[in-house]
Amino acid sequence: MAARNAGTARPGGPNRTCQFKLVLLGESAVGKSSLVLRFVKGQFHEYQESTIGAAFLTQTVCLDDATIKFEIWDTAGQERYHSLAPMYYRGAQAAIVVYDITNQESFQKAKNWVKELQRQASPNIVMALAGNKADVANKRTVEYEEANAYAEDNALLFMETSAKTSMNVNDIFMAIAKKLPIGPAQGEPTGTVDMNQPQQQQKGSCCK
Amino acid sequence: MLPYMAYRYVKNKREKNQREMDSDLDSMVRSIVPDKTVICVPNVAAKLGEDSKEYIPGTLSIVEKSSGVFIEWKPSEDAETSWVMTSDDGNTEMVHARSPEEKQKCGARVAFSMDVNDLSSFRNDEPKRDSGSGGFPSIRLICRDGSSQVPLFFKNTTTAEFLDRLQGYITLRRSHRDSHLVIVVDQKSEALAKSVSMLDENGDILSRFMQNPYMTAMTGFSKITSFVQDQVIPSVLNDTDAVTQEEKIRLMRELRLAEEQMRVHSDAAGEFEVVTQLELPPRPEIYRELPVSKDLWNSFKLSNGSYDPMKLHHLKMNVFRGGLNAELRKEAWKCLLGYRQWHESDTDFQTRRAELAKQYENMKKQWMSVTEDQEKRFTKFVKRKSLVEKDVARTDRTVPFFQGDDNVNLVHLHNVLMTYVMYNFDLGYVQGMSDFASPLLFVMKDEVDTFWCFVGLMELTQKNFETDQAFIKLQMNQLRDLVMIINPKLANYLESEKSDDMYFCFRWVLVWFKREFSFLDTCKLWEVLWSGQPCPRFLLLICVAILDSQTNIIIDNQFGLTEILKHINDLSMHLKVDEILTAAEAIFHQLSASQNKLPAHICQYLNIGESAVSSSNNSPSKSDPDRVDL
Repeated sequence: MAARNAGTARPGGPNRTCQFKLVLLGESAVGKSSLVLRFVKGQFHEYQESTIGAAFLTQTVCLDDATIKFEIWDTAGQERYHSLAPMYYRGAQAAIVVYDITNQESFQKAKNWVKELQRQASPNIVMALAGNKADVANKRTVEYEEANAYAEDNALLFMETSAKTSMNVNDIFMAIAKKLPIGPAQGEPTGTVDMNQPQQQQKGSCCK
Repeated sequence: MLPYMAYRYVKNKREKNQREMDSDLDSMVRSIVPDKTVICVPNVAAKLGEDSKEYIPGTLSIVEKSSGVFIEWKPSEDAETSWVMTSDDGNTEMVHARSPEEKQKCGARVAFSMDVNDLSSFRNDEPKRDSGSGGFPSIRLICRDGSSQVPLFFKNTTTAEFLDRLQGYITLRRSHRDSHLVIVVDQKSEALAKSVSMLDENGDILSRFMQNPYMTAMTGFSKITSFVQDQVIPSVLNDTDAVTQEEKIRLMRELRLAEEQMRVHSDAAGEFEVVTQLELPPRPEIYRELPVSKDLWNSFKLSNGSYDPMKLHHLKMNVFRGGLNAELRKEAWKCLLGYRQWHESDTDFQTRRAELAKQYENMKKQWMSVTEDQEKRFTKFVKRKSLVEKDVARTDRTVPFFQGDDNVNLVHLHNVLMTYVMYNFDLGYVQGMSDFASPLLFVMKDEVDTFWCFVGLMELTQKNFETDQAFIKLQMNQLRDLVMIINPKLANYLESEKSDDMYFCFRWVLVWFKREFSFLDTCKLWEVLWSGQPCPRFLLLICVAILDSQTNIIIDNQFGLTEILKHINDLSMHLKVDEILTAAEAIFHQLSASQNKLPAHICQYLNIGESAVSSSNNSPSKSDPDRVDL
């Protein structure tokens, strides 16, 4: 929680607010929605209902030199709804691919998502691999070393997380925020953003 | 303290340039300033859902912090405070049934702190002071990202003082078209509006049109009004709330160019009128009836327990108009879902049910007897079993019937779904099916009856779950077509925001609004749909009715693709089922009265007009035409 309130926006200073689209992908019931709920609202529900279609939440985090606003798309995980996923990851600047450390098959599915994103998503997408349910390590079937090696081979951020205990939840979003391109550190943004127009989806970062 | 900290800060950063030092120092000073509560309104209660009569007492505040100004609501910290239930006469009763832990959990769930700059608009309802229903003033805050906070009810005061204080930080303006909707004005657009108003004073007809479209059209464009409105002026321009100032300038220029083209065209054609937009008749006023009682239901029966085929349509219309008394559902749902045939006598049904019970037990044994060794070679089965287990554990766990860790009802739900996997192995289990099964179990309280009702319900809905999602896509397209006819302004707006694929309605359509209404309201909505009246695809008219009611919020807030999805998802538990049903029925009558002008494909799937198949003379057979593709 402390990380979320770290720093203070300074009006007129070099601080900027940048908005990024982030999508969560992964097998059904690995805890995608629970991760988002923990990050955005600080809550955990033992019996979080399955996601139908997609859900959308926003959360802002502060870095030293910028404020990052995440537009978070939480998706349905079952294979049957796979065809909907491109609608949600198209144009995303970041993705968290989630698996359950107690479920080897979900790790295989996560690898498939990584491959799909590498083929079809934005080329510069920042990807993180999240091994969730780290609080039930006694039922572990996916070893940390195996997942870490896979992440290194594919240039992914990697953390084992627990939405239940909140372990590494803020950290994985912060790690993504630090890796996202903020743009040149200049006193004033070039040009002006027309505040009368609705916010447009852009592939690159958007500073205002 | 402060001077010393400032001194140390400067000493450590003396190499930095002056401007940077100044801004950093300012930040440090501001971070030391304590939060200041500008206003704190006690006895402001949050309402969890539309059907709920329970309010969570709390306090609503505006707080100035170092990082900005925030609107905050927190539940009352007094552990002894009970939840308040309002009676019809406006008196309040105290509720003591919930445990303190449960109250705390629910309160924390709806508590919020939002930056005042994230506020886009809000709904402000002030019931008439002396009205007999004794409603409370309420506010519902709508954020720029499309999300909404829960409705807040002011128990002891009006909203006026809170809003007065709020206007110290933001500028508010009431929507021109919805007096309950208050819009936060963007500062930049207000300044620009002053300069644009100078342009409006040139007095030419196009400027006057933009000021007062109706009057100018009546006097200057009477024969080509529809053409002008539809073809020349984007629909968004007809509503002043939605027109930004830059957009106004740009469109005025385009309009002058278009006028030249239009004049040439009308000269060449002589008297010229184009009707490109369907004008629908006004909506009739619709009333909901009381639920069908057991006595009324029984009056449609013959002596042997079967239903009089001559009265069947009337019975279904009664169910459509009012739903069913809860005590009647166990019996009536069997008929509405085709588990019991309308023409079956009591004796015949009992005989057949005994046979169906055997079939159920046999199929149940099939999956229960699969051994661990067999599972190793039966991968599809294992995957489906795993999916069922995961979803049963998280289906309707907030409904008392399914609460608790050792709840036998979860076992029954699991058994029904697993047996369906065996019954329909080609389809298997797909997420969303547990949402359809749980109300059936709640009503039937018996695995056999639940299972066969579920079979009937899946006959109505299983196309939603097919792999290629083709039926979902078809419904999204049909929904878009309907919105284009009923509410072209909204349809054009959605297209301009790249939302006209309608996928923000996916959840509504996939599970027939199961996630949008309370459990009991879902039961009511579904039996209305199962009646098959007044037309197939009535589900889509319900979607249109809701979207129609949200038009002003979506357009006035200038919601984009993501905000629209967020707003629609946040309507969950805040929709009034009777209001929506009456609006949808009124829309049906509008369309029916315009059948001569409707596109043929819409007449076809709504069963309107020449292509309509008569539904009043049902032959008592297993294939009930009313139940086809609801």
